[in-house]
Amino acid sequence: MNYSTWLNILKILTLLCAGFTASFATAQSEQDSRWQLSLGVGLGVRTNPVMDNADIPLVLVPQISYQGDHFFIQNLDVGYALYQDQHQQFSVLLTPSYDQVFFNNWDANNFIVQNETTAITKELPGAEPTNHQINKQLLHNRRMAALAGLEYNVNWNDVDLQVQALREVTGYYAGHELRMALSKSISVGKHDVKLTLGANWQSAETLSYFYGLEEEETVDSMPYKANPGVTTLLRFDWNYQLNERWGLRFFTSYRHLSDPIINSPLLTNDNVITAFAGGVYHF
Amino acid sequence: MLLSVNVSASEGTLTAELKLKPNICILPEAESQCKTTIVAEWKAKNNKAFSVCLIRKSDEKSIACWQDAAFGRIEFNDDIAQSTQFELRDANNQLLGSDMFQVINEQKKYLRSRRNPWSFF
Repeated sequence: MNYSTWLNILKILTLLCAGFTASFATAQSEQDSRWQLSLGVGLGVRTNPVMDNADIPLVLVPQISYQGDHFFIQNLDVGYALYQDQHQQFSVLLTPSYDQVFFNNWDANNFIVQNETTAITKELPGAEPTNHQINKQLLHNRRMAALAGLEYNVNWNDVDLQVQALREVTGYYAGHELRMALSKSISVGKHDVKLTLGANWQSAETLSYFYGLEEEETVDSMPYKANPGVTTLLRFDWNYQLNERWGLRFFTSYRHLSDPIINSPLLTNDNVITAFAGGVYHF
Repeated sequence: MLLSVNVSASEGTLTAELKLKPNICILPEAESQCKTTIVAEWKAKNNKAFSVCLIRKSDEKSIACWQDAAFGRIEFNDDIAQSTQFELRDANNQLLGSDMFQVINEQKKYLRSRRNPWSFF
């Protein structure tokens, strides 16, 4: 990460921290706590479509949030509402890219010691199986990037629309993402159910960084540069509040990856499935 | 709920009991204010008479005043958006006692809790 990138991130964080400080100072004079912290404990998994990388277990699911007059934090999302009313909110947002999580178990110790290459067999519906040799040691480090941009939320009668226009600001690949999600919430007694349909457009720079192959990274395949693509999402969330502190939670999601991602020699699947069920303790 | 408020004045320590009924309102999400009728009752515990006014602290509005009284009762309508303190003050504007009308706001002040469906969890 070069100096100018660090400067950009520092500027964004400074702006957000200024908003946080002002919001926090206001909160101190109010009786309501604006912090919310919870921890989910249960069983879950996120499948990993990249190479032979292991699926990601979900056992402890923390949730931390802060809601100020303008400044907000939700887990790894930090934002500042430029305009808001009871039905809509327009914010600047800092949020991580999510593709990097599929590359986390890169470690030479995970390899079979005598074999530096991994055979990747891609079997996708309707297509002939393909095989590639991937040498993980040749692959550049896919880093977790920070995305910054604008977010618009609007709500009508338990239907939420969220649009995010984001740009990578950590200087890794100068990519863009455009995300849209439509959610319907249903509350019946202590049950809260939410169904979400979403689409995420990612630029060629973004997809090439994570799923592309440079010349120097290849073993037996051609270099791969990805085109822009759209990944779709279907998500179901269920929460049940047992009492003031404890609740039950179940969520599951299905992401159908975009064609440029699926076509990558690094991919062995065309989807990501996430599921988690457990108890939640609210601090 | 009974609320005891210590009242002090230049003549010495007075103790009065101030009650607001109701003293709490749960504001639904669809509403921005509690439209309520409040009954305020006060009584000097030692039955000593004094002159006081009941003041809504948020805007210093005088709700009612009593002169040379050892107790008082007033019923009034109010539109309250957030927890509000009501005070008993004498002619010298000295605080003799106070009580809080609590508003529990179910309404999200801003947009319903924002969630990012793309997040890890």
